[in-house]
Amino acid sequence: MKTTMAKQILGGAAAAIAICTMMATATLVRAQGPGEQPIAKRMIAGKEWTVSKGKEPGTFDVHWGDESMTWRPKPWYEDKYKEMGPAYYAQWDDPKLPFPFDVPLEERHKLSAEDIINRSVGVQYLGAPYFKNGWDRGTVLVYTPAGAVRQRMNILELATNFVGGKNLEYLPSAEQGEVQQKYVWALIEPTELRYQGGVTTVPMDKTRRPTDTLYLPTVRKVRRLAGSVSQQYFPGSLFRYEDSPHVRPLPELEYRIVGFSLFNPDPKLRGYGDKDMPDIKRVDSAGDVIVKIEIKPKAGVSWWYAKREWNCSMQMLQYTYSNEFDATGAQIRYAVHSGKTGSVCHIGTPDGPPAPDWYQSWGSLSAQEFVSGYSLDGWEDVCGFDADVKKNIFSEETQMRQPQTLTEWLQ
Amino acid sequence: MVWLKCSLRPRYRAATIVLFSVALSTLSMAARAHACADLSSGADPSDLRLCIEYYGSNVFRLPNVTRTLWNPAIGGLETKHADGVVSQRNEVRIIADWIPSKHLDEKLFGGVPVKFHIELRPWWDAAYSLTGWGQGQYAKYLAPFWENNLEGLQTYSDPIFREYYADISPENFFIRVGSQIISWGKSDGIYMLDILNPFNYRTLGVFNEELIKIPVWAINANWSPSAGNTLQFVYEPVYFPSQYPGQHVREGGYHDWTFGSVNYFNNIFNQFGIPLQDRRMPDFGIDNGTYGVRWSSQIGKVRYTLNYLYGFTPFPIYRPNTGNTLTGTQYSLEPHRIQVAGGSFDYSLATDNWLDGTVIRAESSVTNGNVYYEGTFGQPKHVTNWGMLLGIDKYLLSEVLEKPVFASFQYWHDMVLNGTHCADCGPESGDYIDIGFQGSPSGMRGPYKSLLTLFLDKTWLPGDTLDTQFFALYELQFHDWFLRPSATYRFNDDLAFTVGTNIYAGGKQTPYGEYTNLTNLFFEIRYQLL
Repeated sequence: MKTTMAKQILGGAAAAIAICTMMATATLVRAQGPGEQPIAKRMIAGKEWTVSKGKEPGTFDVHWGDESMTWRPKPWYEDKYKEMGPAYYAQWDDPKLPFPFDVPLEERHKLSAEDIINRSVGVQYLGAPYFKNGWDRGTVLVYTPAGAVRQRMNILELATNFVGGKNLEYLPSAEQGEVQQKYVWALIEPTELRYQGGVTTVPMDKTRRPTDTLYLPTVRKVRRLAGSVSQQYFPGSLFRYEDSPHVRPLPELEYRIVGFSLFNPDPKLRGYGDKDMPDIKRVDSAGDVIVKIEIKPKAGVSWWYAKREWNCSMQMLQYTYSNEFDATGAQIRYAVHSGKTGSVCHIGTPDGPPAPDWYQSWGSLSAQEFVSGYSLDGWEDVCGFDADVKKNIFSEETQMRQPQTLTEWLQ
Repeated sequence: MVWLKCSLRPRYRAATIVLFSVALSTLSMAARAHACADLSSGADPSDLRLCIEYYGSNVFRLPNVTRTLWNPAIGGLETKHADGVVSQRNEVRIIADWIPSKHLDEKLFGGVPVKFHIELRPWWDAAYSLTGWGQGQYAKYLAPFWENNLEGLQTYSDPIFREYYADISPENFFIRVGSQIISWGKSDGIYMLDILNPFNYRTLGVFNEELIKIPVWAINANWSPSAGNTLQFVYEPVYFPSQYPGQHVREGGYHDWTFGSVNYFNNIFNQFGIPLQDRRMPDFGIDNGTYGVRWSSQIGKVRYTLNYLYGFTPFPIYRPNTGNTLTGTQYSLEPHRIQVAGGSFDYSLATDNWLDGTVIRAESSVTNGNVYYEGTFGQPKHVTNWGMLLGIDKYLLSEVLEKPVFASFQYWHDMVLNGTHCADCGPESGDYIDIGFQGSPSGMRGPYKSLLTLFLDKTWLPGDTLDTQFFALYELQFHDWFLRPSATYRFNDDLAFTVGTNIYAGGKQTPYGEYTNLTNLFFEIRYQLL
């Protein structure tokens, strides 16, 4: 085990060195003062994207075509991100990087809407093939319209990606070649749902929905959930399964790219404000170009929204925010997402070394529901990759053990 | 709150004081903490977590009826008004998990991951402490068995120390040793393979599996040679019989949930003299253990289990020393060895039509060595019976409703494969006494018995804070019903209320129809103290 971990760490370090070298030669033109030559330059969606130092210390001016914005550091930005600004995104434009970053940046706007979703939130939440497993302990707080905490959810998560025949030791032989990803979770809180858990299986067949099992601790039984639960609330939260873990494009919905723009996060939105989750270090893709995707239910399908505006950054391939509307056009919800990069996550164990910077984990997700007035914030308390977990981590046995700590979770 | 005005009998004051002390102390802790408490500390902390919850359940009879019961004071049957208070259970649930620190684990267990779990449930049913009300009228006969678990027999059937076990997890193994609940099978509320734990039928109709399973001492070892494949071995060294009201003859039929058949025979025994009972419970030992083996795996998208159990009948078998059940002068009371072989599977349909996502699940078992009471004399006879359950789960109206209705339908049957027509079983030989039997053939089942269940669940409001449920059971041969609508509202993480009714209908001697006069309204509260 130690040998394997050492190889992973060395591999990660080598990748990080390679990326830093690449960044130094390809993106960091030179550090200069305000108004001078850009320190990063790219072609995104057919237009030039540049970053130069801003007038105020710590800020950066970003231009993309006719659009521009000033990038300002936020208290909760990761340290390297805070230092490098939008130039930090350049590390995800490297042809040597594996899926989902294997498509050159200047070509990414040609990807289909479904492919973009699959490459962004699809792997950031449910595991990418470049690591054995991604894991975390997360917290979700649900607030009443008055701002009081109504519910607190604490969760253990782990996900693995099997694309390309990877990580098959975690997969029953009957499912090999059939399953793209697996995700297992167990609740620590709310206390009423303590020990509850489940497994989501994402099939390779893109026309099929994810399937789920649910462990009911009161009767010590694992039940297979009937049909798609994508619209339903995930236990203990106001997130829906569609927010996580049913994040891959769903067969009930239509996806369409409607445009691109330079992303300037609105600090009034929950999750983007300076005081929002200040201790949760993360990256919000500010100053990147985002692709705007419109999601609608297919004809004859009743969904919890009539239209969803869903946005994804082009360099980091990060789901940024979404707006949901009902059939009358009234907004019923928005959600805001920021990711964590490897630098604030760990390899192997919660106290393990940091992962390579370009690794990504889900980070944080906030939402505001307008009909009920409820809102919520969710975040990773601890995140990591490549834990030496049991081969049958996605089985009923994991649920029967009723894990309550990361120590147990990663044994 | 009429019942609070009633006086408590002195003999129960001690228990009451203890329980209230626990409740008060936990309430005081609740003022300082929220949700479960993480008590870990130090540089290399062990994980120690403590949770405390209050659970209250109040059941009130709805029909205004009378009951005819044996009255030892007059030496005969007496008809009295049945009051409304059926049950007022107060329960404190204390759960603690401890995982030794890495350092401690290496020092004590050689680095093999170990976890300890303990769950305490002191409880007190206030209904028995009410003088002249409901079940309190019969407290003299019932309280020793059903009032609390701080004294008396409940220390085994509904114990304070409910579950306490160690989880040991070496590579590819998961071993749980101690008092525990072990579930098998894919059915809900019907138990064919899922008989590793005995049951406490103190509230037969409440239908809450969480409350009725009795923990057993067991070694529960699981070996996973590869992902998705697990071989489970269970060893239970001590036999625990299932419990039911009236199992002690002096309880008569006083307990509201006494089976009709138990009430019938208790009345006979009380009238004509309680026969001697020779209890022959299996002793602790390798020869008297219960052994189970289960293989869990997957073929394609079908998850399945193969199960085998070498155990005992859930209830000890009454055998008369001579003649039949009615003429015997002495009875032996002894469980009989059974062998249960069976399996279960579930499968989710993947189609391009409205059936997509429908879950089909099934469970089947053949039990050899079982004992049914045959004929109206109720002679114990060995049978081999085949049980089969087919379940279908699906979300309904998902095209119309944002929050669709979860529906679960089950068909179950039990078939005696080696039916006999014995000479000493009295009338209706070939048929078997069912739980509602009170002397007439209408309380008997044939070799084939079947039923249907339907469960509907719909959530409402943001965060699914309101949960409405409906359960229906219909027996195809007995034509009796059990209906249970309920609604639960969760105020927050810590507080939830449930209100509902248990409605019974059918013939007086049918398994559920016998409780028609016990149709009730119930309230439950769960409050997280720590």
